[in-house]
Amino acid sequence: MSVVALPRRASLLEWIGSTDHKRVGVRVATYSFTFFLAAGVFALLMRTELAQPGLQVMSRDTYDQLFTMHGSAMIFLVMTPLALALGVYFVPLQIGATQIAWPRLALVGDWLIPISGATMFAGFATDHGAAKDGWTAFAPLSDVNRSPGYGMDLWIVGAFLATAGAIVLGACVLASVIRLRAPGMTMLRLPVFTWSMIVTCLLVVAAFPALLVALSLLFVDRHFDGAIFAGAGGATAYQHLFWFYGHPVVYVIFFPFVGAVGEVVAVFSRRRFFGYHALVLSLLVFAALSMSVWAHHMFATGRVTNQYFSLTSTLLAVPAGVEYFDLVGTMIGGSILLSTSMLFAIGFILLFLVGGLTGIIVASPPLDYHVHDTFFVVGHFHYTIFAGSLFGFFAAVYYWYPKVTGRLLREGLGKLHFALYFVGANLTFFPMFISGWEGMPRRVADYQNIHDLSLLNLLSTIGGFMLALGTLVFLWNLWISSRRPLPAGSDPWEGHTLEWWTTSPPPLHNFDSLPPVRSYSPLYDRRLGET
Amino acid sequence: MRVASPFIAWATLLTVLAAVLWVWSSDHLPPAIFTAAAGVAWIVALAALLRLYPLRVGAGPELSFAGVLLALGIAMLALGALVGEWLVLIGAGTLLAGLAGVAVEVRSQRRAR
Repeated sequence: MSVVALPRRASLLEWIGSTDHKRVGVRVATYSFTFFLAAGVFALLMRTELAQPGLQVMSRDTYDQLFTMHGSAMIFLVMTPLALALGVYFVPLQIGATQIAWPRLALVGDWLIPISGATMFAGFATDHGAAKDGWTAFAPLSDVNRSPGYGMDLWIVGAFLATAGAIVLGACVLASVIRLRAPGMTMLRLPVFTWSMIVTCLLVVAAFPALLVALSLLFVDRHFDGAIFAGAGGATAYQHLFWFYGHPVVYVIFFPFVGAVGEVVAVFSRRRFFGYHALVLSLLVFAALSMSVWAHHMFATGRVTNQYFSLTSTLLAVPAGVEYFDLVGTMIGGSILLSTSMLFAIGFILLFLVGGLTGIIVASPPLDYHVHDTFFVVGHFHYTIFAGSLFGFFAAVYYWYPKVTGRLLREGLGKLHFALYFVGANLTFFPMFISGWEGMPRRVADYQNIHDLSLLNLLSTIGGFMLALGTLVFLWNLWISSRRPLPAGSDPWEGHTLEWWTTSPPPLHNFDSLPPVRSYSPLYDRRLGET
Repeated sequence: MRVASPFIAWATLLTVLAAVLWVWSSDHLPPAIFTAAAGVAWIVALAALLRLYPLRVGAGPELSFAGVLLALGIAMLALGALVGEWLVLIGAGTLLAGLAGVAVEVRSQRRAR
């Protein structure tokens, strides 16, 4: 049995108060993953209810709470913090910095997120239960008459704190890139993942404050008779503020995983990333356009400038196409190694494509009118967020886990995890396109068995349980890795970027020395020079 | 590429997109929100251009319980708006304790240098 020499375990006080960006990143990822498990259980309960027409497992009220808390947890407490956690951990390493900028502030942002989760989940213990008006909390559905009780208020406070925490973490990562780069690390030598985090953090600091405003006004509306969203146009005003955050957040939980997948694809294709400059440009354009499309969620209100938002939404296909072209171009002619990480990266590329292409459908107002608030939309965003971004996250986990822990995950279990996730994700979410197109509304606990809706929902439920099984396999892999560690060494994959130059796990100050940085893949350059 | 260039380019893109929306939209709220966000983007760009981030490499603390207190204070203040004045007061006290702790930490760091 192999033995790995690992650094001493952190004490509880160190675990709580450490400002080391690596500990902050691991902390955020750990409790985000815990919320992911809770949100996953909610999803399984919902899928069990929907497996057959009629109410079998829970009441409509409970179902409403579960879909609200599932969506809220996944957006506010899981995917956004996970995306930022990757940046907090790896951006300082990739730019050759010894620490993150404003480490105390990063610590504040870090702790705001679990507190926000506890606040939101506390709603289940209140008289009226947790929030039950969807993760969007649309006014007037979220007003004090239609959503009475503390559960809704706790949701507002929780979402506020989570968003504030995300802004703080994003600002720290952005400031690190601007001021803490190593000598030679110019902006056009930044790794692909770091660039993806730059645009992510720009979106966070520019778009997320709109939600803070919306939630504050909603709170005032509920408690101080603000009558802000109750009047004419109030509901639309809330939606503008909400979706100004709510659409960019989709890209906040997309870009980091594009960057991570870019690193994985290059390393496991044994090639330098293809089309680097085009990628940088497309990321900046993509991020700007993604700020300008929010009201495509509001086509059905009849109160937005459809032409503008349809045009900008459709234009997103151009930078997205450039990024896909770069990812595929990196693989062409490469010596591809189908590791678990690479499999998840390819899964991300394939599945996010389905999410992106169905996005073009809902970007068209006439088609959007047909599928608005149906399961088609649920299928679309689950192909982007679950089948897309979460695959990107697992590509990153299998790629960077050895760096974080000094241990390798088991490849066999990883491939089983991938297979269950790939089949499970398609089985769960593809039938939703058909059921939605046939008119099955979202956010309902029951439905009539017309147009084979019963069969389609049963398939989705079976897929959901396959995903749960895949998650258990991943947890088992983590457990085995901790009980019987396989040493990883400092660079098990022959990585291209600076994080692979230091030990695994990296020391407190990150680096004892740095190699010369002459491109966006300095270790690849060095290896090329050696051979 | 200068460090501020991508941020200026991004802020310019947002400004142009917001300007087009001002022309196209009959409602003032959507372009106003977008313009505010473009303003934030310009602040980031100017901060990068003028290097307004006072950072010192090696100046970071390893542990900061004051930071944890700050987070707790902010959370209690927010929850206090819902639960009652008593929690607002505790939150304010915790926040002040956190700020004082940060001041002490910063001073001891400076002395150590």
